Amino acid sequence: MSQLTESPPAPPARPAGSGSMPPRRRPLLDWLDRYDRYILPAPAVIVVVAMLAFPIVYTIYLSFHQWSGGLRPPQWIGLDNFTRALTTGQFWGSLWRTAYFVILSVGLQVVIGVGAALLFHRRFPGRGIARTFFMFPMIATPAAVALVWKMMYDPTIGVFNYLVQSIGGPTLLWTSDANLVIPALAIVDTWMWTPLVMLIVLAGLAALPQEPFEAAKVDGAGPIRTFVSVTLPLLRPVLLVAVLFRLIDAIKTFDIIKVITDGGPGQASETLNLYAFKQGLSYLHFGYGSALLVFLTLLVFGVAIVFTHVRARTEEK
Amino acid sequence: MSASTVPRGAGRTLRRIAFWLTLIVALAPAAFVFFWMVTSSFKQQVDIYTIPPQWLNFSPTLDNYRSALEQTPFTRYMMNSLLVATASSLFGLMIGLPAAYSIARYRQSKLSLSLLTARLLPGVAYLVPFFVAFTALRMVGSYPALILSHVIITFPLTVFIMVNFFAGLPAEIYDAAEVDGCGRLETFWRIALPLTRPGMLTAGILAFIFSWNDFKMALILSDGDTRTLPVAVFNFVHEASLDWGPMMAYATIIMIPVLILTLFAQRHIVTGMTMGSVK
Repeated sequence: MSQLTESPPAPPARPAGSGSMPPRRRPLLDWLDRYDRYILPAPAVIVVVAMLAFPIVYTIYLSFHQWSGGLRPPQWIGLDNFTRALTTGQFWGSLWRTAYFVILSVGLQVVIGVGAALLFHRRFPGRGIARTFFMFPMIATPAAVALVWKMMYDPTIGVFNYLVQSIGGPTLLWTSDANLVIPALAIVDTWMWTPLVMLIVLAGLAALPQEPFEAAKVDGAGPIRTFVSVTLPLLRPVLLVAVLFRLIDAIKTFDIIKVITDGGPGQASETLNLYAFKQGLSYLHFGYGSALLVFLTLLVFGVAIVFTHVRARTEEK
Repeated sequence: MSASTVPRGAGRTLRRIAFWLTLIVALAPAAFVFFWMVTSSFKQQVDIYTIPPQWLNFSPTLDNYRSALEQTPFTRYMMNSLLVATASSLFGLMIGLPAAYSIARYRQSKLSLSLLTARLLPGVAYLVPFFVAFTALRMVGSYPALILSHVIITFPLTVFIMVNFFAGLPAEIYDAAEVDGCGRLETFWRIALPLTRPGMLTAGILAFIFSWNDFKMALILSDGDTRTLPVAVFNFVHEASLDWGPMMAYATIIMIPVLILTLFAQRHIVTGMTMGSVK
C-alpha cells in the first residue's frame, strides 16, 4: 500500500536497480504481486467510497432530517422535506426554469454544433488552429467568462444593447428582464458548449463509412438531400451521445448562473440546482437542501438511464 | 448553394468565398467575447462607459491591471490557485494511475462504472456533505479541504484518460515483461508507467485546467486566505461593484495559463470531458 501511495508519476525507477535485479525476491513483494488487481485500485476505491459514497449516503440521510448545523443534532422528520418541496411553487418553478433553460440551450447547441462540425469536416488550410480556437470557450474558466458576459449584458454599458439598438432593435434589458434572462443565459451556455457538440459530431463524421455517400451521389442526391437521408441517420448514435452529455451538464449548470444573475431578477433564473444551492448552503437548510439535491440527482440519473435505453435500442437496429 | 447559371470557375470561387464567410461567422462569437474582455481590460473607465463603444480607438492603459494587483492580494490568490490545482492534479494522478492500469488490464468495469457516477452526480450534491464534514473537522478554509475536494474533479478525469493509454499498450509488452521475470507491480512501475508518460502529461494538464477552473468547491470551502482566483474575481464583483476594468484584467490573467495548457492538451480534451464513455 504505502509503496503505491508514495509513487508519484516521477521519472521511472532509478536506473541502478533495473536489469541487474537478482532473481531472489522478497516474500512481501510476491504477496503483493499476487493481489495486484486489488492493490492497484485500492487507493482509488478508498477515495470513491470516501468522496462519492459518503456524500450520496449523507445527502439521503440529511434529506429526511431538519437541520441547520450547530450543536443540536439533526431531527428526523420523515418525508416532510420532500412533501414540502412537492407542494411549493418555488420548487416547481425552479424545475420549469431548469427545463426551459436546458431544452433551449441544448437544442441550440445541437443544431449549431452539427453545422459547425460539417464546416470543420472540410479540409482547409489552418483547420487545426481554427478548431483549437473554436474550442476555447468550453475550456476557459467559466466564472471569468461569465463576468465578461455579465458586462456585455449590462443595461447601461453593455455592448449587446448597443448592437441590437444600432440595427434598429428595441432596448433589451437581457439579464435584468425576467422574460429574457433564461434565453440570455442559454445563449451563454450555447456559446460555451457548442464546441463540445461540434467535436463529438466531428469525431462521428470522421468514422462514417464512405459507401452510402457514394451511393447517394450516384443516385444524384443534392447536398441537402444527402444530409437529411444519409448523414443524419448515420450520425444518430453520435448525436445521442452529444445530447446526453449536454443534457446532464446543462441540468447541473451552476457557475454562469451564479455569477451572471445569482438566480435573479427575483427568482426568474433560479434553476433547481441554484435553488438547492441557496437552500442548502446560503440559508444552511441542510435537510431541505439535501431533499432538493436528491430530486436533482434523480433527474440527472433518470435522463442518463432513458438515454442509455434509447441508445441501446438504436444500436440494435 | 447550387450555382447552375454561373460559369463553373466562378461558381467555385463563389463557393469558396461562402465557405470562408461561414467560417468567420462560426469563429466570431468566441473571438468577440475574448476580444471584448482583453480590450476592456486595457481601457480607462471613461472609455468603458462610452456609448457607442470604443472598439479600438482608445488609449490603452495598464491601470486596470495595476489596481487588480494592488486592491486585492492578487499574488496570494494566484499562489492559492497554483497550489490547489497542482496538488490536486498530482494527487489525482497518484491514485488514478494504478486504478486506470488495473481497469485496463483486468477489465474492472464495475470500478469504472462507479467513477462514472462521479460524472453524473451534481457538484452541489457534494458540497453539502463536504461542507458539513469539513466544518465538523474544522477544516473549512484550509488547503487540505480544498485539495481533497478537487480530487473529485481530477481523479476520475485522470482515470478515464489513462485507461485509454494503458489499453493502447500492446499485450506483448506485458507478456515479455513477465517472461523476463518482472513482477506484476514491477511491470506497472517499470514498464507501463514510463511508456505512458505522454498520457500522464495530458492527464495532468487536463486535471490542472479543470481544478484551476473550479468555482463551486472553492466558493464554499475556501476563505479569505485560501481563496482561488475564480472566487476572488467573483468576490471582487460584490466588493467593488461595476468596476469593470479591473475585473476584465482579472479575467484575462486567469485565462492565460488555461489557454497555454489547452494548446498542449487539445487532442484529449473531448475524451476528458466525455470521460471515455462515448464508446
